Amino acid sequence: MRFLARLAVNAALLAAAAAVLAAAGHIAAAGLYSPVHLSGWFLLVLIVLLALFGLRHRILPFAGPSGTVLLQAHIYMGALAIVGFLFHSGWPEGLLETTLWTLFVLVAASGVIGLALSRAIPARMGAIGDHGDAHIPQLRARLALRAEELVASSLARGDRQSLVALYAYRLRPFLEKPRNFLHHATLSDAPLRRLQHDVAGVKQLLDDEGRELADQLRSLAEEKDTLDYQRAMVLIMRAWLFIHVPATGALLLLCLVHLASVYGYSIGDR
Amino acid sequence: MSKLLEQIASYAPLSETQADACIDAVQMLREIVAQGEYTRASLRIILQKHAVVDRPVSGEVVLRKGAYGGDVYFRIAGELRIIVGAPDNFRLRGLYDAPKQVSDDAAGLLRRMAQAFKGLRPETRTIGDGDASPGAADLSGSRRLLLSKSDRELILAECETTILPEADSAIVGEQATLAAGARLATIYAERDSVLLRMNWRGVRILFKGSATFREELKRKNTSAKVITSILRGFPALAGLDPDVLAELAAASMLETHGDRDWGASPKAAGELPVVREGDHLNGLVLVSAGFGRVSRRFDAGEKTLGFLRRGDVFGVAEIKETLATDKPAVASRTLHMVNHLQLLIIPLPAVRKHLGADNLPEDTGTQEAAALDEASLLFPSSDVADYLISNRLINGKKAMVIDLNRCVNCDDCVRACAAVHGGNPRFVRAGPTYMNILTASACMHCTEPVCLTDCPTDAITRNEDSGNVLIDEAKCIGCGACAKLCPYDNIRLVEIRDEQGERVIKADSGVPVVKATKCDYCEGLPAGPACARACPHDALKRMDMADQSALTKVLSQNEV
Repeated sequence: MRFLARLAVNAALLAAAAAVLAAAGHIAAAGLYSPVHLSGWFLLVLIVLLALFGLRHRILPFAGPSGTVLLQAHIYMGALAIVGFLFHSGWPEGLLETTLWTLFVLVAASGVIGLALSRAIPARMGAIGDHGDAHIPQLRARLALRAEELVASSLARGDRQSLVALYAYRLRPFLEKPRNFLHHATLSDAPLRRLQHDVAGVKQLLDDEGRELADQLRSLAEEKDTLDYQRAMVLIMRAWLFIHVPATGALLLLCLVHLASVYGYSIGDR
Repeated sequence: MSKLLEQIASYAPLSETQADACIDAVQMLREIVAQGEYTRASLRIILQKHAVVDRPVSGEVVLRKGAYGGDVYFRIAGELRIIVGAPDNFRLRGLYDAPKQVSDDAAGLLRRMAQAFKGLRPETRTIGDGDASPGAADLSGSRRLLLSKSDRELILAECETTILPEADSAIVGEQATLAAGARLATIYAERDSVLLRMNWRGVRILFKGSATFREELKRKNTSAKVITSILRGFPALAGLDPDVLAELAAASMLETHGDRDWGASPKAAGELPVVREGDHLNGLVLVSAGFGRVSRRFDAGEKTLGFLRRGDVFGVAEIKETLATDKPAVASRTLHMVNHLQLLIIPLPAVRKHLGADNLPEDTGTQEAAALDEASLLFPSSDVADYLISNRLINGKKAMVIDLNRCVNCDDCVRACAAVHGGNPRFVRAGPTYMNILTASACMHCTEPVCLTDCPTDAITRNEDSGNVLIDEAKCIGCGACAKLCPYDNIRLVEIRDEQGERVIKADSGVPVVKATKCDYCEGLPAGPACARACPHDALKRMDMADQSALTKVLSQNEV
């Protein structure tokens, strides 16, 4: 099924689930059961199941459903948890509820953002050639070495000082480590264009052979910029997990505290 | 048969005198000595290292069709029957089905699962597990099927069988062994028999050193019987009348191009045209081994249309036209040999007489040149064949293909592989790419695995049932022969650690002990390869590289 069609079907299913939950709450209220307690338990069970996704690395290689199936289940349960949260929680009051509320929103939002990133970014990286993040430092070092070798031949010559200066002041700092993370994260190529402009300016001062060298240096810089872009994308694809996973742990803990306080201070509501 | 031979136990290592007795009992070995190609002493050593006596009882299946071959059998005494042909729906207690793959046992599976929860140290061994001495042959007769009387009556009633004649039954199983491929037919003992069973390594030594042996194999492999069994491997021809098949076989010609041992330099033998576009086609061309590239001239170059592997056919459209119009058959495409190619050519008169236009096999390997418009010929999806051929990935039966449009570099696949393999992942998530396809550096369990050829201890073998290429850790001595031979760098040598995490050092040389490791396709795990199971984004698949439709699907999916 194509993506948009799948999205439409999933949205419809979620709406149906929300309707079922609303109906269940209504029936519960009619039977003098507390809908808030029911939705709370529903939400807690979902949160626990969602958190178990983290154990998949130990079990998955040997038994059970595949990683794809588990992730899809995780996504659908997450969507359902958001629906349940909307039913269960109004505006928070007090420190505990506010913290709990914030943590849930953080986990849910980071999950949705992570899902969007994991769908959008790989295609961008694939389009320019995915080198695999483990190899990026090696490739970067090779580019830096190549640039140094290209410039070394010009050091002794009196008529290539502009090229040497280009390398010393602009290219070497650029090539020696990852650069321009924020620009890549915001899909801006301004730093690269500035560098290309500098190279074009220097080219005007050089002879044919020097211009050829300048072109090669520019190609190396462009390759390195591509590596920086890939590195930035990989970091972004992982960064959301540093919020999502710890926040989930804290959320689980506070859920238990919330559960204890609800039943500890309740007056016997079912 | 000599008294000494009668006393030799099945599968027991041979003593010097026992090996001598075997040489005297097998005509081929006597001839090799008589020709001076090997001395008796050296042949004795070969037998002691690489052969055992095998005593199948009446009804015991010696070779099973479809199983992967590793051993060759020299007949000493007894009688063997070969099932030449069976009806499509014939099933006899797993005779034609590979047994289900199970883990070692439930306890073994639980142990493997438990280690995923412990702190993992890669490649840890309890010292004293013991390496087998180099050269020891493990030729146990595991899992042999024994046919009952009623089984055999059923076979005789429903299948075409023949008793292997005296001369031909001198050697059996050599074709599959030399090609590291599947057995072509099932052979069982008609009565209690005595065979000399030699492993892959021994056969290769004889093959390289003895012209007599090579000539005999060539004679056998080009014999009508062998050609008949090759013809039966093509589904469109398998159902033909046995007499028709025999006539086709008698008329057919076997042609071999290139070098089967293309080893560590995958492009060394290169590509040479075998049939050129515009040449006269003198018959229907069937591919019986190796690989071929099919191309068509376009402007000043050759555009790849696809590739051919064992079981594919070339020239069907041209032959069909000839049969319809009586005009000479002219090749509309060029067929190139890629390293090694073996062709079986059925001459046109035989095709006309016995097959006709309606019974021709399908042209499975490539698209019909005439059906392609310019856009299809020139633009991206048709280049996937070029990518496969130029990187020699066409050999892969279980290659690891990653869709880069879905892969988020989460490393779940690597973690899963490490969890199953004691902390050492058996692949590297890098390799040649084409658009959004990356073929990772993981063993592809090739159609023709060149890595098997030079192992001194037979540590690397092909599983008889699954076809997976596996390394026996206990036998591996870390020589690196397989790693050097693998054209794709998919085998790595890793250092071994003791239980304290320290490297194990050889006492005599002071050098760390290393072993070869590679992807084993999670052999024995009921759930299959952990890498593919673990990927949460459906980016990683294990696939047969001949399945171009599957690759094309990966290229074109993710469309919104």
